[in-house]
Amino acid sequence: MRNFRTLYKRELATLYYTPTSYVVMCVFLIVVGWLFWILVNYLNAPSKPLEANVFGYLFGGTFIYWMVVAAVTSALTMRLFSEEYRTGTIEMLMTTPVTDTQVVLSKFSAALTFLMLMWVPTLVYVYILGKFTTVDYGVVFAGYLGTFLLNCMLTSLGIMISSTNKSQFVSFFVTFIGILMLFSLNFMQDVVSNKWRVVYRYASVLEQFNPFTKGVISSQSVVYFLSITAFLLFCTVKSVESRKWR
Amino acid sequence: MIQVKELVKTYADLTAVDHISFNVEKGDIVGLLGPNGAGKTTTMKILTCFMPATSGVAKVAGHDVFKESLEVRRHIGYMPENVPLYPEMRVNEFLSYRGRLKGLKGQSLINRMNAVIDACELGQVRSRIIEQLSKGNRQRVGLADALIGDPDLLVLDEPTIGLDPNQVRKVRELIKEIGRDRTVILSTHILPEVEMVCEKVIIMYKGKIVAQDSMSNLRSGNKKRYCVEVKAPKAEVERALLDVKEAYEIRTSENEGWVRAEMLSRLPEENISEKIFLVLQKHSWPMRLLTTKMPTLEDIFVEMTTKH
Repeated sequence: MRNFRTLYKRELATLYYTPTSYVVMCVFLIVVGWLFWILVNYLNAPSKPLEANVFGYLFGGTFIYWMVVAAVTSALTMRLFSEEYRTGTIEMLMTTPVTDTQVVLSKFSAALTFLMLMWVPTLVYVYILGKFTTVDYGVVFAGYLGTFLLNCMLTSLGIMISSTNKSQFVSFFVTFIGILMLFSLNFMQDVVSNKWRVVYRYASVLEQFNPFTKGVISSQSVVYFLSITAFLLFCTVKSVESRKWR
Repeated sequence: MIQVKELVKTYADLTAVDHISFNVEKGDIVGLLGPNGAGKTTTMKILTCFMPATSGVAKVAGHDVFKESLEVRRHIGYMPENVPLYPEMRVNEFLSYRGRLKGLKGQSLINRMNAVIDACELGQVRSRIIEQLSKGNRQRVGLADALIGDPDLLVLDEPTIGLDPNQVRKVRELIKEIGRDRTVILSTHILPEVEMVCEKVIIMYKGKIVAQDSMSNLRSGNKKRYCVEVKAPKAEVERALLDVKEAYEIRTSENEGWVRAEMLSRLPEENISEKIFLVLQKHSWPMRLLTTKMPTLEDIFVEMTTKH
């Protein structure tokens, strides 16, 4: 546990040392702020029903949300292992008394913490909206919970891909495309045979994320996100270990 | 401290380490020598548990490097080749982080940090960012990192590469100092370095150990050369020396009328200086030198890594 804490602190500190993180944070807040403003304007139109919930749309309701999530996760996870491989620091790290699992989990937790802290300023929107209208806090909570679970899964995907190669660019690119593919499964289910449709629907990130935006915490979706996260982290540990049998 | 038996490491189509065996006693400073690609770095990576061997046994402080890897890592301070560091951290932060990973905390961490910063003369740069340090200082940070856990065994891969002569001298002194109370194994292809620092030498070539012994044994076991300088025509000196039956591999060179002849003796136990003198004396040539020369490590190294 002590090792984990030491590793975690360094990983998190490094995320705050690197300029990339600040660029990512800025872009993220600008886009989410802009999205919020547009959605409020749109839902303010007299033709829209009164009970329309901005947060239902803000989380996962727009294409740009998914693009931002894909880009942000890829950008933050790309260097986690690739950079250690490229500079050779992995050798130094792995010759201290730490286990591969501790290293993987600390990197994962640090990236996830950073991603979730990025969402903290958006709580201001809840406050602002609460000043002018009634906010369904259940939906807000479910939205944030869904975002957390989604980030768990995408971060573990990013870290897994980062653990397979030395190039940050390759890691970014493959993670980004991977997330977009998971996202696209939802649209693909219309063009595949019936037999596969159900598989596509269950595998689709969008399909699993939707209940959260409506304020529903579905156990199926929770299991979906957590089990994939666990599986991908397991793969990452194996990938890091693979230096031993390559 | 280290027991290695029949260690083999093969990559897809290359045998990097080929059935090597050696022992290192506690307190030894051992030089691992060999040309590039001889398998030195691979051996070190196995000893530090970074990767396992294909077959064979390697033990550090009585623990198997593969089965008890975490325990082995607690005993080792490792400085990899090219000293990879986290460039965005400050020297202080980096050493504190590494110290914690190696199990230090609280006051003992602070004391240990101060001790290694002193030993590696990093006082002036301790709050600088690693990225901005000179190559020499980075090397020192690497060494400080290897030392911070107070390890019994220090594994240093090319510790002085890329340093200027003053820094090289200081690092060598530091290694000697460190070696007083712990075991050090260092790889290099800078031969004078090994002669100055190490007590024991292991020479590797194409994945195999071609020689391992103490510095003095290695030298005395290797044949000494006889050198003689006389003022005479070169061809005649060569002809005259054929009369010394024990001499072989006679090499001559000429400089301003003086001929220098170097040769080996077939009788390693016997000193043949007298015979050489008597043969040359018959010709009454002026002689200004007759001596024996111990082989340098370079001679031994060249011999070992070319004849095999």
